[in-house]
Amino acid sequence: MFKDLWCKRKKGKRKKNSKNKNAAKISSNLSENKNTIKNIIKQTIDIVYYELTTSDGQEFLFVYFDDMINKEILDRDVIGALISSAKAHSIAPSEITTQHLKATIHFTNIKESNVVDDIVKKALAGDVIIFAEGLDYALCLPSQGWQQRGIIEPESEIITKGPREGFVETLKTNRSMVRRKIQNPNLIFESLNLGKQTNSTINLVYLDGVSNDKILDELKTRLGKIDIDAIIDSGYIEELIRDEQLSPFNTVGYTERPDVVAAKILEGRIAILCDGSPIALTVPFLFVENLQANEDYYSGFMMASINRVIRFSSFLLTVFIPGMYVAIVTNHHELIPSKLLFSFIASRVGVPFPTIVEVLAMIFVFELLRESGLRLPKGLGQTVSIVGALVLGQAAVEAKFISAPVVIVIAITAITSFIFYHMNSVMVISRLMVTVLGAMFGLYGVTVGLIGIFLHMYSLQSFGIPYMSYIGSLKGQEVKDTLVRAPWWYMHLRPRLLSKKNHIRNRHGGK
Amino acid sequence: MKKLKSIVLFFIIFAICFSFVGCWNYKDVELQFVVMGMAIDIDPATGEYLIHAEISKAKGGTEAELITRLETARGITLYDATRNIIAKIGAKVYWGHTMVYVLSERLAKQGIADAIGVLSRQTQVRSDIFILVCESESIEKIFEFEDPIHEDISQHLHDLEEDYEASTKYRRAPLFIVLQELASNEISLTLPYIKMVKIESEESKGGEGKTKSSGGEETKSASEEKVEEIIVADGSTVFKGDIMVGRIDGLDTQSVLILKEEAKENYILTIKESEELPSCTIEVINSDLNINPVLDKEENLGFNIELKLEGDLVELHTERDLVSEEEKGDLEDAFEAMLENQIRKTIEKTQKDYQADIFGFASVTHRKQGEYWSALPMRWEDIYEKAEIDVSVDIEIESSSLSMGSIRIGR
Repeated sequence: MFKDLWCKRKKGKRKKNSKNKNAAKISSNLSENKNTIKNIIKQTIDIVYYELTTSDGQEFLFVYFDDMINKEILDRDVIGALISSAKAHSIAPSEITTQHLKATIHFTNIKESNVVDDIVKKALAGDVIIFAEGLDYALCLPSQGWQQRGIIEPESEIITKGPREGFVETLKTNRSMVRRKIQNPNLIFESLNLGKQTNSTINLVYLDGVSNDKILDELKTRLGKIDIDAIIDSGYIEELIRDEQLSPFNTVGYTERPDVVAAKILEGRIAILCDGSPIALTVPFLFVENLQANEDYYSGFMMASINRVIRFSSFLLTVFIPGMYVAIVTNHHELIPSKLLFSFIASRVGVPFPTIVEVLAMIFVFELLRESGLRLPKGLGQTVSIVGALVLGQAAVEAKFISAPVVIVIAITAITSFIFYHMNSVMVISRLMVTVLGAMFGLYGVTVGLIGIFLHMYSLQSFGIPYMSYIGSLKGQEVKDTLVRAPWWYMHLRPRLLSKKNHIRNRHGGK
Repeated sequence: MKKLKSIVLFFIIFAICFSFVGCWNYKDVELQFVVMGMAIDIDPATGEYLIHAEISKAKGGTEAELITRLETARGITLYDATRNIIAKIGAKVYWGHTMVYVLSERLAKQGIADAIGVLSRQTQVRSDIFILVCESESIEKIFEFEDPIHEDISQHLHDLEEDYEASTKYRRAPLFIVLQELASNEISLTLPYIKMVKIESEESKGGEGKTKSSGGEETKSASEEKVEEIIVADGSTVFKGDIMVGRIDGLDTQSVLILKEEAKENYILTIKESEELPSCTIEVINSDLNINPVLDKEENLGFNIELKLEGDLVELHTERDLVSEEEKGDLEDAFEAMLENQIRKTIEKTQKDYQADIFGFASVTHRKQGEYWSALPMRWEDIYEKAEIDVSVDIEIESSSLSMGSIRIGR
């Protein structure tokens, strides 16, 4: 079905094109085949055409990309096997069959193909292609072997309690990590290739019978519509399939952790793995998932619930604190205790800029520091923090460029924004908006900003599921995993909208 | 279309919200000159209002140190006077953090409705600003008093008012209660009264105050007596309508607070040494008040006041064990007699001298004798003047704080 969708979009020219190519078949003549391949794969130094004639006179042609394969296997189990087999009992070249070759070569999962286009694709993906004289089929050996990064704990999602492995850039390894976590016959991986130039492999992962078919169909439709040159990272896909293109809110989740992907699949979500990227995408993505961390489920539910509340308040703080400060200090002097008013006055006396300018400037400086610190080599990171803390924090206050409360306010904003790093774009934009509103209209402006942000959040959808689902609910089973993390014995049901088919997680509280 | 609708709705909500908010303006905080307290007087010669304002601003720096300035201005109306301050200060002043509003006795005797009315109209003034009455002669000087433990005098007066319950010698009167009592015809207003009194203090002069004589003994060489004035709270003022008619002292004020249930716990009662009993003090920890208006056969109104107190013996000037079950009865009786007497005297004073119902007996009558209230036979102040008051106090000494009895000196 997926292939249909994929093709439907490219009706017309491309369809005809591919038909012509499909039609091209290989012949039983080795040199003819070599020329066919050479015509398609341009002259490049990393391709190898290795011709072998065994002692019994059989001729073989091996075509592969030198750096993509495991040579040891090729030498020992393919070429070695062919040579020794020829010595033992010779067969006339005319009698050779694929069955005979399969029986000789020590290798599993050998595929046969006679379609040139298909063969070229396989060679590009790292297969060893074996042509034999007199055989109009080629054998494709999936003997990929290249260097890959070791499985380490992802630096962007560090936890103290729980599994420490993270995805790597190789799709196979990533797949194995998910399969190992969910050893279930219903776990399905579906593959497709995207990117006109790169032909990158994408895998959809879902648990059949739990995931919602409508969401799956919608996802496939959207993936089918993708028409792009290259998929270098899963971020490309994220941007191309997401809802609400113009909203700063994430409507597609991402993670580097197989345990997170497994847990989301078990809730009925669908994961997208992309070859070459350690980041897996999950859809649909709801606001509550911003609050959830995998560690919530590995440590006790009480601490997890407290952490959820802290995370949510940090979201509110980081967006509203600068706006509130500006509003109070410039518009609502009567709202604060007299003592506090005088401390504000004391810190402001002698500062040349209006409060709003101070705050906006410090927000800008903080963003500069954040951005510069993010990409610096580790050794230089300290320099930035020292410059940031000493020069900007202390010196600016002492020189009376900036008042001390503003530094405190920005510091709180900064700390809280790191708790919610996933939503950085939201926070930067809405913080700026609320601050300006606060300066213009006081707390009224802040309130309007708050209403505006929440209205926007409630208007969002992710793959047909309302973005703010379960946040305002009063049903125990719906709020169980939102601002609180209920104990596992209470979480009988999966999220309702995501897993309509198989709603019940456990009937008796898992005890 | 849907999008347009939501945008339009958003702006409608945005616009409607405007009507729910008060007025505000962008003003950086350091530009505010905060009036901490204000004393209002009336010039008897011209009839103009005089305002003495204490205006504070924080000095720049890491510590919020206050600079305080006193300024006086006059005007035909109060508002006029407050704006006349601008010419002297050089900036518009801010009322949002004003803590106290002191009225002169002179002004109080002419009527305070206008002066209080200004506050209730003002948008900036808080409704819990404290209202006090000050002796006419002292009013110019109150903000000049230097209190070393408070940042400014307004703070001093504010703290004084906050801790009224521990003292009970003066009343706590925030603006919203004053407005209520002014407008009510069931109670007469009382306001705390402050004045400046001279105390003689010995103060040494400059650095040569203490010099060491050759013998190593400290002697005071150049000390001289200096007269200093300090602010004290001294009872309350009694109003009829908005006009001040007289004053009651601290003990009377205590009776008023007890009968208005403004003092319910933490205040103390003290008896003087007599033949049978030594001086001692109890701290009230619980109280229960019941005022019942009763009509006799001739339809004369009277009041039965029942007051039940639980106390804690905090000071006892004897070695006798008066705390024991057998003996504490005497002590309780003495306190009961003392308090009954004190309350009766206070009520009689307000009946005979001022005919001002500062306890709110009228509102009790309204509540409990509704029929009588709806057809009063004469003016309430006349009824009140003639009303028979019966006070019965029941005091129970619950404990003697942390110790079982008095210290017995070892011999």
